[in-house]
Amino acid sequence: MDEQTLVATARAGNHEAFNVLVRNYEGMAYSVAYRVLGQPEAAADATQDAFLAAYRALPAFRGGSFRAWLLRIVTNACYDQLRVAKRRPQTALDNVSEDPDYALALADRGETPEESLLRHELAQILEVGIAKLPVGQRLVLVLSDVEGLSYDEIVAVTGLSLGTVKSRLSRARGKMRDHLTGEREPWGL
Amino acid sequence: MWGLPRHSEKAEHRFCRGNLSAFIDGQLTGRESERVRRHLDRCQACQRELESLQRTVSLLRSLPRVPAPRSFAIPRSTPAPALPFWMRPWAYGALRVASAAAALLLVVALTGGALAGPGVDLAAGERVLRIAAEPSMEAAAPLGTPAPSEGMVALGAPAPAAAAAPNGAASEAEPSAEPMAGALEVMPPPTLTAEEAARATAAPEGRGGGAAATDTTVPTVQAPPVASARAGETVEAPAPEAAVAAAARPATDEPPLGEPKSLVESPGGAGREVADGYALRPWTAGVAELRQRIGGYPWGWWAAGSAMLLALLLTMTLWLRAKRARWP
Repeated sequence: MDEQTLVATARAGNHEAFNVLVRNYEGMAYSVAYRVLGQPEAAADATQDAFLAAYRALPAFRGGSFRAWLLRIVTNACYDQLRVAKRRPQTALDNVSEDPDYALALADRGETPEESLLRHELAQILEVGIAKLPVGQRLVLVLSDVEGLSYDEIVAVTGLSLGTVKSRLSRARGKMRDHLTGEREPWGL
Repeated sequence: MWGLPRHSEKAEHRFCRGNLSAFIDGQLTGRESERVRRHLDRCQACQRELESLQRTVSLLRSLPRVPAPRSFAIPRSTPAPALPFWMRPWAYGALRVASAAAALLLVVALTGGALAGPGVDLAAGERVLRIAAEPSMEAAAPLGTPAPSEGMVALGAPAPAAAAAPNGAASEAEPSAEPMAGALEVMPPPTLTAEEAARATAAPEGRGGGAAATDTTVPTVQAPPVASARAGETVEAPAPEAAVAAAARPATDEPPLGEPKSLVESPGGAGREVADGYALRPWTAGVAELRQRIGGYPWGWWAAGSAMLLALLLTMTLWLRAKRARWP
């Protein structure tokens, strides 16, 4: 069943059809939420809220990219979580790679221990650099360079103008480059 | 000769730096890309910048996707998808039509009121009597007025009949309009709020506080010149509005008419503030006055009602717009 058919079936109230879509996109949705929020629990809450909101809002989906539409809902859920977090004391964002699920994802049996260590270290540095960005730049950078969305899709997800997306991405990349060059290991920069 | 426009080297450098990110993604137009490329051929700093940015993007793209810790499948009990009422197409239209109707009603009410002539202001005597008759005035008595002033006592009874009538009726009943003017002039508002009155009554009843109250605000029948003259006048020849207005204002010896006296700290240190020269006015009196004021104008209630309805509808429209903007 293709995506449009799944969406149409889910819109008629079919939970199973929608859960197929959830399985297809939950990895991407959680990953974006995790990198924007920097915390596994908040990211899981935002992802669950986003899927429930998407199911309720299916009648409002007017075609086009379902991925962009879903990511827009995920982004809104992330902003809601950030608003909630502002009212509560929160933990630091720079321990992102300590998440066991994420550590497992970084494991690659085909590489030497040194290579694995370097990759872990690099991933941690990158995650810390991402977490240090302002949330607007962070979102655009994650969508573009980590998730590989096109500029048009980012415009659809964020509701920003193309010029704003370009400038935010340019600034975010510049800051990430500065973050990497400031490290002990310059990572080929 | 008519090729690309010539820019200074500094401007080219700035343009290149600002567009390297989009250049990497192929998001520049052909002309812009050509401009960046030509500058890159000449500028080694920009070449290094390009390489470092490309390397950064490449490292970011190597980051693995974070795996979801659990399934986010929705439960079967989730209600079927349905648009909330505020997302229905008719919701916005209905609000607009209702807002337009309320605005039209407001215009009609204001126009009708204006065509009907000047509004009938509320009868000042009745207003004052209402304020004076409020029970909280009695509660506030310990503050500055141990007993209602004599003028009030004397005039309270005969006044209502004449005072309850609108201005026109009052002028018929009274020999001249002067007392009425006087009444309106001295009407200005009592300033102590209900909260201050409560604070004052809650103050310790020790000698210090009591003495302070009597010292500063003992009302006497020896009212200020104007007020006493009017009060005397009204006792002999009934002029309810002026007399009642004079009665509503606590009569004191010192302060000139209408001028508030300074706030006085009680020697007991309880922080009690006493303002004399003004009568206490509870909020219910304010509401009653507002109601009378609105009712005093032709079409007043229609105008007030439609204005409130319009404000409510506009608030709902703004709320709806904000909700819809956040909807995917």
